[in-house]
Amino acid sequence: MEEATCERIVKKIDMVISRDPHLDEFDIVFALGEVNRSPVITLGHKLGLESWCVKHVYAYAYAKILHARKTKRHDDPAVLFRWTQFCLLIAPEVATFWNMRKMMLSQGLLSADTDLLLTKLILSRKPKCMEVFQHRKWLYTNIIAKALPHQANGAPHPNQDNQNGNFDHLDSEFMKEFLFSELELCGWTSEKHQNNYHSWNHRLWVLQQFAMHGDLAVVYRSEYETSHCWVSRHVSEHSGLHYLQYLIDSLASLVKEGKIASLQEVDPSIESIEKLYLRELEFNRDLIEEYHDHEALFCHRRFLLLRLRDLLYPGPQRTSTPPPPALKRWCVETVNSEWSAVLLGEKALVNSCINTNTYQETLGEKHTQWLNNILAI
Amino acid sequence: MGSHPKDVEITDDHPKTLLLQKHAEYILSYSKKKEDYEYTMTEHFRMSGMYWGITAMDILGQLDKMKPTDIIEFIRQCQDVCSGGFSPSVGHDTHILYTLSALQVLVLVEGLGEVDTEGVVRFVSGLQNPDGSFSGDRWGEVDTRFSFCALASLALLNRLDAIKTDKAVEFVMKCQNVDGGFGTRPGSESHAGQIYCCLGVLSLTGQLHRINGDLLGWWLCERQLPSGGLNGRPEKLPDVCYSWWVLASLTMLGRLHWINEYKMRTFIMATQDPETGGFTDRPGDMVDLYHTLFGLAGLSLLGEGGLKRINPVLCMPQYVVDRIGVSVQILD
Repeated sequence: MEEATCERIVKKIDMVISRDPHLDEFDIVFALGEVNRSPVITLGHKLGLESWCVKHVYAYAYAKILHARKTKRHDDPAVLFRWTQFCLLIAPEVATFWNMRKMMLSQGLLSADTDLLLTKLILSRKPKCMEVFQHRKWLYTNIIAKALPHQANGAPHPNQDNQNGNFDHLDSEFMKEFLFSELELCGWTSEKHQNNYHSWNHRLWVLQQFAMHGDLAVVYRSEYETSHCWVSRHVSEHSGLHYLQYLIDSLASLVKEGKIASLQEVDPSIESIEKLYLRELEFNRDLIEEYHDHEALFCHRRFLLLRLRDLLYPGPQRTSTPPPPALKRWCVETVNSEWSAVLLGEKALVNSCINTNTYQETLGEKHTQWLNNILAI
Repeated sequence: MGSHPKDVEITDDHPKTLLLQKHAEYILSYSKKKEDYEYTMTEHFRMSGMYWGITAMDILGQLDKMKPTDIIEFIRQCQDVCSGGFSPSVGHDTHILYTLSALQVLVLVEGLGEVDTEGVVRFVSGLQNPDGSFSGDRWGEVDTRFSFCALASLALLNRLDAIKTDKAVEFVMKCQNVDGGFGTRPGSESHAGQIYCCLGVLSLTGQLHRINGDLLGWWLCERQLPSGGLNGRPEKLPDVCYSWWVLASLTMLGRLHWINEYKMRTFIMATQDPETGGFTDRPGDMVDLYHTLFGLAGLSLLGEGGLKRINPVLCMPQYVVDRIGVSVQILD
C-alpha cells in the first residue's frame, strides 16, 4: 500500500473525529477491501475502519512516529497528532504515544477536549484498557484542574487576582460536572466488560476527587443508590461489590470525621454505622438466596462480617486459632445480642445452601470453613 | 454437587507431560521473527518479552542457544543516558517495568557491567514519592507493581539503601484489603498479580511477618478451581499466569502445600500446545511468551523434573540469584 494512501486514511480519520465532538463509538469492521472506496465509514455518531487497511496504515504511522522521534524533527505538530491518534485507536497500550500527547498537552499544543474525545472513542472499543484510564486521570490532574483560575483544593492560584469570590464556586461546579460525567464513563465501561478492574479503579479515584469539591452527601447518596442497583444486576462481579465495600467504608469514615453530617443524609432509614453494615448484610443475604452459585456474593459477605465483628464485638482476643468450645458457646450466647443474631443468621444461611445439589452447596461449605478458621466460631 | 460454573474442562486430548523440547523450539523461533506485523505490535513491551523468553530458556536448561552479545547490545541501546532507565525497545520511553526486565536479563546473561548501573539507581530512586509509593515513569502513575519493580531492581544491584524501604513497605501495607489481599493502590480491589508484587516487596525487605498468612493463604487457595487452574479474582476464568502469581505468593507465605498440586500440574500441562510448543492462558487458546514463562515457572515451583529451580520472588533461576548473593525472605 502506498504511503500517500496511508496518509490519506489517517487524515480522513482525523477529519471525522475533529468535525464531530459527539462521536461515541469506534471499531474495526471486517472487510476484504474494494478499489476506489475509502475504508473510513461513518454512520450517525459512529466511526468505523475497514480491517483490510489496518495493518498497512498502522505500520506506516508507527514508522513515521518513530522516525520523527529519532531525528527529533517535529516541524508540524499536526502530523504527530494524527499519527499518534491513529496508532492509539488501533493499539492504545503503547504508552510512548500517550506520553507524546501528554507532552503536547503540557505545551498547550493540544486541547484537553481532543484527548477526552479520543480516549472515550478508544474505550468504546477497548473498555478495559489501563493506559486510557491513566491518560484521563493524568489529563484531569495536570491539565483540567490546573487550567482553572483556582486550584482544585480551593487555594487561590498564585497568578490570579482574587477579587471575584464567585470563581471558587464556579470552578467547583465545573469540576463536579466533569467528575459526574467521569462516573458515567465508568458506568458504561464496566457494563461493556465484566469485572473491569481498571474501570472500577477509575471510579474509586473519581470518588476520591469529589472530596475536594464539597457537598459529599449528594455524591454519596447517588453512588450508594447506583451501586446497589448495579450489584443486584451483576451478582457475579466482585469488582462492583468491592466498590460498594469501599463506598460504605468511606461513608462510615466521613460520618465519623463530620464531613457528612449523618448517614440519614444518604439514606433516611440508616441511623447508625452498625445499621449501615447490618442492612448491607441483609441485602447480601437476599441476593445469595435469590441468585445461587455466586462466589463473589460470599466474598462480599465475609467483608461485612469482619467489619461487623469489629463494630459489635470488639473483644480482646483476636487470634486466628479457634477458641475452646466453652468460649465458643460464650461467644454466641452471651457476648452481644446483635452479634449473636448475626452469627445465628450465618448458621441459617449455611443451612439453606446445604442439599441444594448445586455449586451453592460448595459455597455454603466453604463459608462454614471460613467462619471456623477466620472468625473462629 | 454442582460443578463450578466458571471453569474449563480438561480432557484426555490435552497434553499430560512436559513437552520440553517443543517449548525451546517455540521460543527460539519467536526470537528470530523480526519482520511481521506482530513484531511491530509487540515492540512496546519487547524488553519484557525478552525477559520471558530468556528466563524460560534458562529454566529449560537451554540458555546456551541464545546469543548474549546480541541481547546485551539491544539492552544497551534501550538505556536512556539522561534518566538512566530502560525503554521496552529503541525509540520508546523509559519505564520502571522495562527497567526491571532489562536488569533481570542482564543478570542472567552476566552483562550488568555493560550498562550504567548508577544511572539505574538514580532512575529508580527518583521515582519514589513522599508517601513511599513508586511512579512507573515521569508521568506519575502509581501502582504497587511499580513498588515491586523498584525494590526488585535495586535488590539485583544490591542497592536497596538508595531508597526509603520503610516508606515503601508502609505504602504497600496501605494497599491491603480486609480479605488479606492487595490491590494497585489504597482502596483498590485485591488481585493475585498485585498480591505477588506486594508480598515480593515485603520479602525483599524482610517484612513478611506483617502478613496474616492464614487469611491471605486462604484467599489465594480459593483461586483454585475444580479443573486445577487458578484465577486471579473471584468468579474469573482460570489462567495459567496465575499458576505463577498465586503459587509464588503461597511459596513466600510457606503455604504452597495448601493447594492441590496434582490438579495444578494437570491444568498447566493442558495449556501446552503440542503442535507449536509454548503455553496458552487456558487449554485450546493461542500460545505466547508470557504464558510460556509463567507456565514453566509454576511447574518449576512444583518441582517438575527437567526444569531448573526458580526463585519465587524474583522469578529468575535460583542458581542465578545465588550467584549474585541476593537472599529473599520465605516464611516457614
